[in-house]
Amino acid sequence: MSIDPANDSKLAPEANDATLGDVDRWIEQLKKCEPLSEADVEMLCDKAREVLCQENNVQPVRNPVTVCGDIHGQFHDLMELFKIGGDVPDMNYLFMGDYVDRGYHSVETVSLLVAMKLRYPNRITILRGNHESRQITQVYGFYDECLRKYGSANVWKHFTNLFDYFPLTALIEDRIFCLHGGLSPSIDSLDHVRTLDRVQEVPHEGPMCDLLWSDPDDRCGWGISPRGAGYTFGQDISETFNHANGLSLTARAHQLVMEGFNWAHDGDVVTIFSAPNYCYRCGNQAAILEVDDTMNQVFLQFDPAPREGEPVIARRTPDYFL
Amino acid sequence: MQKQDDFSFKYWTIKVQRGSILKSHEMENLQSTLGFPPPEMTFGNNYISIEYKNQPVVGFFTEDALKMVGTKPEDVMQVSFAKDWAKSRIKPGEEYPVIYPFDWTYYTDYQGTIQRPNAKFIEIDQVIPVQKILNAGQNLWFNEIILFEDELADNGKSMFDVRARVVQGHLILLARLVVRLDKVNVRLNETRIYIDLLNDFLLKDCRKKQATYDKIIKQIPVGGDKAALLDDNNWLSERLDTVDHKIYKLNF
Repeated sequence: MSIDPANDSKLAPEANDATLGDVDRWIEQLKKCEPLSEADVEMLCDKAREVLCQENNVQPVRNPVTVCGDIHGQFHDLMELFKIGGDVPDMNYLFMGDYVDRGYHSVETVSLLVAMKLRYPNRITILRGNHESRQITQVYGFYDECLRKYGSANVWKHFTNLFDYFPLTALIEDRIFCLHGGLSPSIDSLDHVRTLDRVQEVPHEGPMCDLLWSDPDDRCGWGISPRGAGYTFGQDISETFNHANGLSLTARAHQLVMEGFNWAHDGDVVTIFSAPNYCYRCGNQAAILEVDDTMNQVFLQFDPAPREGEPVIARRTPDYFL
Repeated sequence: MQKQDDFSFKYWTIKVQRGSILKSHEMENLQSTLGFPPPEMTFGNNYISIEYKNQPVVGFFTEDALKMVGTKPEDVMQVSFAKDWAKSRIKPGEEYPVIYPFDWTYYTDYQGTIQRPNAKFIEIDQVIPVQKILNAGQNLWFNEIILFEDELADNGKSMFDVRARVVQGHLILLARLVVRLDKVNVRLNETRIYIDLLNDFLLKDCRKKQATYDKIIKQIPVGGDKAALLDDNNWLSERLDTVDHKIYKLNF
């Protein structure tokens, strides 16, 4: 381990409101998929903000570390992920965003990851995905889940205010660049990413938006999505960016892939997706990427965890349509 | 892993195959065939097919549905904020091409694939006997599949699903495409297949429905769960205007 475990307690919350014991208790509670009280969430977000606001737009991360993609509220599958990859703080983790929306347990999922971040700030890195946004969560589930579980939008407000502080990208040992979406035509260096003012709602356009939204494509150069918004980047772009910044790889999430991971651009880019059987109906595998202390890379794939209380597919059967 | 299921009565058989989304290499092959990227959730091996005397008559297949997605410039929809995005991003001298200009909302007029060489749909006035189906009691068999689904990069939803059920003496199938482009519009294509299992023909009822997004939003009751209603295909279907309705009989 390149990080001294003794440092962890020093970096954990300065026990004004929440003590280490409180945070440990929250983690235990959340691991049972029991949501925190509204007051605890408020305290959690307040303390986590103090940790996250210290982090860089390009947060440096040491190896060994396990890199994970989208989770989307699939809490039981996140527990399976920790079973496969090893528990925090025994293992270090880097999550590339999209913790909320779509799945049934966005509240428990994001609460647990933020609590782990607060408790072990050097062990776990949580980046921002395009779903860590006020606007998107109002359409795709997290907002409604907060209303359902807490009876008001307060918890949603605490979390979405906190999301503004999540780092945009991370850099493993100066070699592997990790982010949610992809590259931006406005950005050609990591130093440029470092200068962005990230503490804001994810904008509809601009370099910060691109980092959370863009996709690699087989076509060379920059392309504009037929949607009329959003960029795609070709192999030449990835190659130039990696080379200019001394990178061996750009790792990103954001797109569903059946195998849980997918190489693109001749090994310059990899997509990692960590929500198995996405939306409880896709039948896809999930994957995580282990980077060891010699920068060796191994993908671990896994299937959904067997669980109670969730339908096998998301829709009821049979029905009496006409 | 594909799961199969079927139901037979007299000369009629309905077959279903259901599995996971396509693997990455299958997606690449399909993209080459189509000329544009398939939906992110492409259940490419799913199908429902109806047979008479052991010969397929009509079926619903993912690839056939996607082959009818528009690729002409006038088919290309844009997100609500496209103009603002272009204004803010595209600087003079910056000319990035639009990749794969195609209808990325995956709207398709697909109404099923005829599997008999000489079979033909003829427009008729006869309607599906809804009351008979209702009176026939509980389902003897039910199945449903998704052909494809896409989240439209969080700008709505495109989903093509097919449901089928058999009650005493009757088979009814509903194939439905829902395309909801947030802050723009909602479009539906519904194809119903009806069979009186004692007969040797089938009826097809096709409806196109649409409405502006604003019109749908206005129908959400005060205090209603907006996200859940906008995700509810049945709720949407009942609130759109029918712009085209035709009924056919298939002779084969």
